[in-house]
Amino acid sequence: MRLIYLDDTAFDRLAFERLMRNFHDLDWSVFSSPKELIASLELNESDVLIRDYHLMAEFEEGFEFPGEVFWVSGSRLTERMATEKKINNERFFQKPLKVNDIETILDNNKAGTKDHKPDLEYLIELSNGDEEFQKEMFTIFFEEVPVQTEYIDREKNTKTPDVVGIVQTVHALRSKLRTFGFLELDKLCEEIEVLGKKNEVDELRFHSKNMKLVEGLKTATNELKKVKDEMHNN
Amino acid sequence: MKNHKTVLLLEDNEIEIQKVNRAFLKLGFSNTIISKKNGKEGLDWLGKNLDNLPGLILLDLNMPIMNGLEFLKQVKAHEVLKKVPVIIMTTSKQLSDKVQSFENHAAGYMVKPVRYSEFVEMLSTIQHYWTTSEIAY
Repeated sequence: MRLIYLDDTAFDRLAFERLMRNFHDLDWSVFSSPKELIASLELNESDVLIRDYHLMAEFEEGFEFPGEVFWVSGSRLTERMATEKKINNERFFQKPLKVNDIETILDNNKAGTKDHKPDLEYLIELSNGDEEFQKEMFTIFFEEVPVQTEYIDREKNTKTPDVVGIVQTVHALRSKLRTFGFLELDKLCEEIEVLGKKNEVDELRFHSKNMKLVEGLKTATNELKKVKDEMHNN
Repeated sequence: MKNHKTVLLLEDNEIEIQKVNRAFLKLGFSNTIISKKNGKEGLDWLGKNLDNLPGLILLDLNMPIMNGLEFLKQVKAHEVLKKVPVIIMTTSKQLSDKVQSFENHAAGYMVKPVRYSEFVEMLSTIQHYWTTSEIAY
């Protein structure tokens, strides 16, 4: 994960740089305009942007960031601001940014970047030692999860996402994720399910939770394959 | 109630069906579990078994074709079916789902726990209360 700060006010950029002295292991950069940012970095979906709400319009024309975006402003989040830029409270921070604000942003991003290791406790308890049943559960996971991952990956960037389809897919995923102990991904699915039920189409479309989920599901599937192979070899 | 030991499970997810079946097995319960994949299938089955109704319906909310809430509304609007207790069994902690379920006369609302042992325990309590007590239809 790479943290990018975008602000056209020199004072606030300096304040951010100072704040980041508290985060030694983090990859971060500061820019004064999208143009400068695009010229310097090749952006990807795992990047996280913290940007000033009042960035001058000529600085951001046609600018689309591929990863998760957080907003900062000297004033509080008003209804007009929230509607205009489709911002919710979870993604808005008031200046000056503080250490715990950055920690919140990092925590929010954890689900997509961490190594998802399966926990087989639930499956073992459920199967009560029945190996055939365990194999059946693995088969269901490997048959269904990649297809569902691909579906979300496809839908997340479309202009009119199939909200009902997304809700049903994440709902169906949850059972499998819980069975194999991928609880953070289960929580992410729950959050997306809630957004979908509220018919928050823009949130669903732009929300990086979808991106994190896709990345997380791919990691989880690979990790589970390793575990299955190990079990099989033993 | 002629067949109070039958449990109708409405759940579209195969893993969840297995979880309930295995929990009943683990608990040593002898209830017959009839599972249907959506509300419509459930209603069709109930319509054919009006003289032999289940003692309990375990209902998932999120199902295709006819979701749990629509099924619940139809069951509770039916002169005979409305007497069968319906327990919602879901992962949804949303207040709106709980409110709508109880507004439509669900007998209970069970949020599936993360641990399987807790799930088994919950089912044990539900099964004991609803399918072994003397309920006169």
